Amino acid sequence: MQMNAVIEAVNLSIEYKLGSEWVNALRDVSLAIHPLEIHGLVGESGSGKSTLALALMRYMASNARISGGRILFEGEDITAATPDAMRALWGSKMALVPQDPLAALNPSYTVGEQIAEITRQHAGLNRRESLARAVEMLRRVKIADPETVVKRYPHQLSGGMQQRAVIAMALSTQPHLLVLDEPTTALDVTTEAVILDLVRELVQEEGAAALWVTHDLGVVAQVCERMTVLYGGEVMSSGDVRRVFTRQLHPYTISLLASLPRATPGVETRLPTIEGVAPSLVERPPACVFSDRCPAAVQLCRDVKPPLERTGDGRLVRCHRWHEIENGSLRWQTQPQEVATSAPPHDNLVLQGDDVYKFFGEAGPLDRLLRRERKPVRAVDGVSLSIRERSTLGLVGESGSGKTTLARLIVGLETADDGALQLLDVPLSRRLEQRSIEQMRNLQMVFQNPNDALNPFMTIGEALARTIRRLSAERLDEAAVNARVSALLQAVRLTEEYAYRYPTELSGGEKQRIAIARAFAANPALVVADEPTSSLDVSVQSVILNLLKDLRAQQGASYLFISHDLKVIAYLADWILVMYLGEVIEEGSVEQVYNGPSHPYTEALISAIPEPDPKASRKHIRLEGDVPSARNIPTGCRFHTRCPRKIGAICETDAPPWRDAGDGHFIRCHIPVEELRELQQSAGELLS
Amino acid sequence: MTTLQKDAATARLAETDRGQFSLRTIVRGLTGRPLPLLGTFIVVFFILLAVIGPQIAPYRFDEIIRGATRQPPSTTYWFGTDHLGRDIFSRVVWGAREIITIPLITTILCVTIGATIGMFIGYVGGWADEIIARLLDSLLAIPALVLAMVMLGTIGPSVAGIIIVIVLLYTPIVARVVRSATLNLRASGYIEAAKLRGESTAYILFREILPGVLPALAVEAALRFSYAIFLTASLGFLGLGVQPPSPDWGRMVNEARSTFSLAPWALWFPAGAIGILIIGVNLLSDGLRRVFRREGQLV
Repeated sequence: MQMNAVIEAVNLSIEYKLGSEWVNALRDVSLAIHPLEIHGLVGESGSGKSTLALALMRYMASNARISGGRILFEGEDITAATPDAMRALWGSKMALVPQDPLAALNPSYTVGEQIAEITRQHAGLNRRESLARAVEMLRRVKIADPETVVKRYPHQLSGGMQQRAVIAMALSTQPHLLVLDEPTTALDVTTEAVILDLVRELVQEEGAAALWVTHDLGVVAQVCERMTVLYGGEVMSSGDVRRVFTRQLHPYTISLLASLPRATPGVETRLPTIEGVAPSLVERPPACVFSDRCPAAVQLCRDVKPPLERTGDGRLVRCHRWHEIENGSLRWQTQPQEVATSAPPHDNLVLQGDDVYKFFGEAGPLDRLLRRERKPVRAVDGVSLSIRERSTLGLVGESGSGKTTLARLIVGLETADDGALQLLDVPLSRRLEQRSIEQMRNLQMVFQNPNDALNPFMTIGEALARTIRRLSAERLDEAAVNARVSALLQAVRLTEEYAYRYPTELSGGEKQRIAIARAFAANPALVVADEPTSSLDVSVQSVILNLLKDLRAQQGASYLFISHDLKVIAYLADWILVMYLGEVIEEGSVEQVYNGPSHPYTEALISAIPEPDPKASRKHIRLEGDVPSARNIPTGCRFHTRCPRKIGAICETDAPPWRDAGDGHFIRCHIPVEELRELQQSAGELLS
Repeated sequence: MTTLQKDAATARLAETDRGQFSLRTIVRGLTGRPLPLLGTFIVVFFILLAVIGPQIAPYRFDEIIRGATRQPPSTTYWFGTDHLGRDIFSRVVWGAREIITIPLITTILCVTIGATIGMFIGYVGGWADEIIARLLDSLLAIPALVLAMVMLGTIGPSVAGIIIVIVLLYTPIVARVVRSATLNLRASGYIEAAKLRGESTAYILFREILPGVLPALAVEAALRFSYAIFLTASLGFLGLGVQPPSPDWGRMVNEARSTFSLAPWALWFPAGAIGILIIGVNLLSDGLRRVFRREGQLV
């Protein structure tokens, strides 16, 4: 397949102006993308991946400049092309699919109007033709009923539909280059899986070249042919995806893959981690940019910048020691390390909740007065759960499943409409104001976004000390509080000097560690963690997950751990609840849920996870359509509108029963357990 | 193009020194650029004038110089004299005290009351917010000068009256600004964490939320100060301000109006003083806004 590259960067360097200085953001990056090829660009935040992706389209921030190298588009040098020349290419031959579709669509025009505008502008179609083309494009991205969707406004579409509309818009002029900047990061796994399939199919049909920017190695493995790994503005390795994944030669790629959470049934493990954080633009090490975090770094790596070398099988690697890694003489811990099992979960319950309900937007007094019908959002619709001492309950579900609301009801940030809660066998009021300080101490929370978890105007020490003073059982003097602050910082692996810092001086991962320390300030019995790693970089995620595991063992706490990521749940949790539209549809141990038989929804969730292995043979279950609105919950089984295993009218009319799959494993489905097992086994092994 | 902005923003973030905005960053921000520097200079100048004015003025504000009516500006009478033979320079200098103190007191009151109300309704939300926010909105609907004239006309012009009127007019505006700043912070993790350790509402309002709304509040306070000067001067012009013979810039303008063709300088100087002071305060508030925006404390 020796065709001319659609886009090619040759030794491209880009600088940003910071104050009066120019700082290098990208150094000597080369890459070429050919027709029909999806090229994966992987990197953590600050690696320069977005800068590179947009620079290839000659789209740069006002304080950026190309300081070296060339960009060739279809053989033509566009490094110094005029803005007018670039505008002629943008939208017609180069197209961008951004991360946030809602921000990319104009809220005051219909979707069809916006797609039509592009073909009118670039392909010279008239109004009627361009609208017809918009309908056709929406059909091609598999939007059901495109004739009505063209007349809708962006906010009337779901996130997945919006992203499809943006893809339709990008492809409407048959561009030769498609740049996708994290197009699925904000979407649910089930929607992500559908978009991955769609883009792969469309790129083949259109004969385009695509650049897929992502931080998710799983996505790259599933969708790309070639990949480039970027770190600190430099290419670490690049090459054919299959080769890169089968035998990694760069310590960064090896460590990154090793740090991904995975299920380790039956044994207690810790993930291998990458020390430190990715360097900012101004703090990059002068020699090898990865040397300060590399497990294999030697003095040479800190003194001399390694060249980008070509390996025997045609890959590129930038490492002084790749020969040793290739011949196997250099290796380090890449498997989860087994650790002594901490005390097994007790049978005593930390928390018990029975039939908890929370509806939002119910008809108020005014609505009743005006006799207005208002259907409430049934966010949590009769959920029961129990968490044993020293265990972790994992709560999984797509966005809109009610998992975050449930967590907030438990800690008291929202007040449940109905239901009984018990903390350590003592009734727990639904209202936060009526809970005792002991109950507050025993029930703490770690929030999703580390950036607003800490008051920017208080030092870390002040924040921790305040929590310790408020929640401690006995009155502590100054010295005791300070000692406790130091102990907490130590427990989250930070030095005591952090007590004097302000949150803005900390990285996202460090902030999250402080937030965890704060939750553990006064020996809580239960810590509710709402997606604590979802906004962190991959290399930082494993550190936080290990920390949570360690703290559970040391402090004897339990977790209610919420995540949309089944792998994270599988790594950390003992027991899983799967939620769909405000209801629990399956519960069981990690092994039970993973190995099946499982609820068709869980099965689809598992099959949608992009595995970081291009050769993984997996079941191919894709959910049609979007999650229905929680205002209009489907009758019968809530999942019947999307269920790939729907058996008939009964699913639409009757609420499914709880079916006992043995050992506390329950599935809410009309299909008997045995039948589910057979169906799912014949569809292929779930977990290999 | 969100990613691009993000990249550029991270790049810019590295440029400013990280950490908290302190008095030093504010002072540096105000003095580092020509316009905020000019504004700061003007405001400081007038405040100094208010403090030491009576010492440097050659005459008392009500001193009538015999045989020196309507003298044009000269080396003896810098700003000239008015129709009664009073030295305009001295009157302008003496008048600085009132035009600074009345707006300063009202601004302090507006900010304290407005911030407390705004934080409270923004944080508590629900019915309290619905009712109080609507009440504040309805206060805002009344034209400022009409309310001032009606109130001062009824109770009679006095310093206390002016202060009450301006506080009544401007507190709702401050409250509304603080309320919306509070709404942005209300769902933050650190506020929720404070709730989860059972902190009182007062603690959450004044320790957790107040520092976060302070930048918006500081900018708004500077803006209110300039409007309060404007309103005080306007009331003076309408004869509803501080009563004679005390020198009020607004009233000086009004008195000079009738004799404008004979002694235009009697109008120029007090009117110019009002204009320069208001411009100075506005430049200062723009400078503050710029400092906080760069520090990422204001959106």
